[in-house]
Amino acid sequence: MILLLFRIKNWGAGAVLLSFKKGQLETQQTIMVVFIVVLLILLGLILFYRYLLADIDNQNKDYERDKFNNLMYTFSLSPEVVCSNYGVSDVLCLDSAKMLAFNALSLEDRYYKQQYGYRNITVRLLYPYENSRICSVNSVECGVWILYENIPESYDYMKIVRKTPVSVYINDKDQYGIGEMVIEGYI
Amino acid sequence: MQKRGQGVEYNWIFVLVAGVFILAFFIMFVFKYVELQEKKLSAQAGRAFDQALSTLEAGELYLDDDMFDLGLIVKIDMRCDEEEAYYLVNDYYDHKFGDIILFSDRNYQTRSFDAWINEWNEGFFITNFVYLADPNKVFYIVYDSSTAADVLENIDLPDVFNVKYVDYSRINMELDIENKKNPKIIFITQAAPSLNLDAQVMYIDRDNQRLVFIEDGNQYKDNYFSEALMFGAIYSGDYSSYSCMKNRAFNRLSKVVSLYALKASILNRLIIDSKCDYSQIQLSLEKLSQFAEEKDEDMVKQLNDFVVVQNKELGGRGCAVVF
Repeated sequence: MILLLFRIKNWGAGAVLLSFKKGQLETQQTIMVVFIVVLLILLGLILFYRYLLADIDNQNKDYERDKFNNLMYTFSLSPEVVCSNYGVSDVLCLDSAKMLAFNALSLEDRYYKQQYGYRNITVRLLYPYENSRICSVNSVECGVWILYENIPESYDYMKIVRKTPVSVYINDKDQYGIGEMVIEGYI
Repeated sequence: MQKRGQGVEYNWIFVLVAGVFILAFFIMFVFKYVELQEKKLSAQAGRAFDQALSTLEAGELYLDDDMFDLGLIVKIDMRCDEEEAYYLVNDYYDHKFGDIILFSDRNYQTRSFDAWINEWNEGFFITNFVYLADPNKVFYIVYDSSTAADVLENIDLPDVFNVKYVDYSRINMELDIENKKNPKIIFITQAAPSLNLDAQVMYIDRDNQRLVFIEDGNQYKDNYFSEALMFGAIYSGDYSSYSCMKNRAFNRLSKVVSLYALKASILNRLIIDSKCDYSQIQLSLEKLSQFAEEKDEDMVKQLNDFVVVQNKELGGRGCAVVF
């Protein structure tokens, strides 16, 4: 009887011990599952966040590219370079003397660096003659005008190059020529 | 038995705490995402605004509200000081105007605009002025018998804007400003107005080229020497924004004129012809640039007329003109 009671007691204690260990195991399992689920969710969120950032970055680059393409047209209309005759502007024509003046001013004046940022703007004469000599206020025979030059120090920027044909009025010869305007941008 | 119950209790407590943390994390994520999306939309609207201005610069003369549409209603604030001018979208995205001179109200809550680009040319091209207005804004141009002919012929705002011409003798009948969003009344009459109106009011004295902005009972006076600047005053929301943009216009004038002065000196070196002497016009242009920077309007007007005459004389002698 006593032995039976002892066995029953032990069995009860064992059963309690067993169920206590089982509860611990279940808790641990729950913790593991929750932990893994949270990790997966976090991973998903991080990937989503990086996708968003990449999307915003791409949109920004598209915008910079569109702005750069606009510059191709609007720069040739600016009073600093456009040909004019008694105050009337000539569309898509660049004045050679103005180009020289603009180059000189853009080197000194911070205003133009703020306006145009990291760009290189060059005009090359193709007709009636080609001449690779860079024009300056003292040079007569030349064919390349460097209007604006501002290259970034770091080359992490992406370089874009656009070209467009332009008419060039050569002041000292009083004649019109055909040239190519090259704009390099860094975005 | 008690220990088994405790184990289950601990389990529930853990689940609850973990659940609260996860829920809090998700709520925070949702709020941050919404905030990010709002910022993204503000940036998109700002860029659409910039694109529309570029379209104007590239050749379009007018843009109505269908063509100048930002896609959603945003708050836009126009800011201007001596150094720079920029617009701010939803108090978040800002963008500089560059060398565009823009005359408009200071604050908008809208999705679209009516816009007009006008070349500022005083014998030579200086810059472009952009005039901007809310599509629902109404401009009332009040004239009287002495100014009717001048107003109806010369004060011709583009059709994209809501403009009404009102005869001063019938002002009580024709001036219907009730229920109008931010109306502007421009008196171009013999005498300054004495009416008390719940609207933006200004007076233009065409004979003396004078402007008077009437704001909260105060009068702010200014002169204009160019029609383009007069139109700028019409579209400006208040005197201070007009004044700031006018100063920027003069800074631009100074830069352009200094370039023409440099061109004159270059032509002097390149063109070897005794009858083509560019030194006089170069000197005048340098002075004009200096006076423009100092905002001395009277001297700017005088010198401007003078350099235009000098330029014509050069052309008359068969020399290449400076502008």
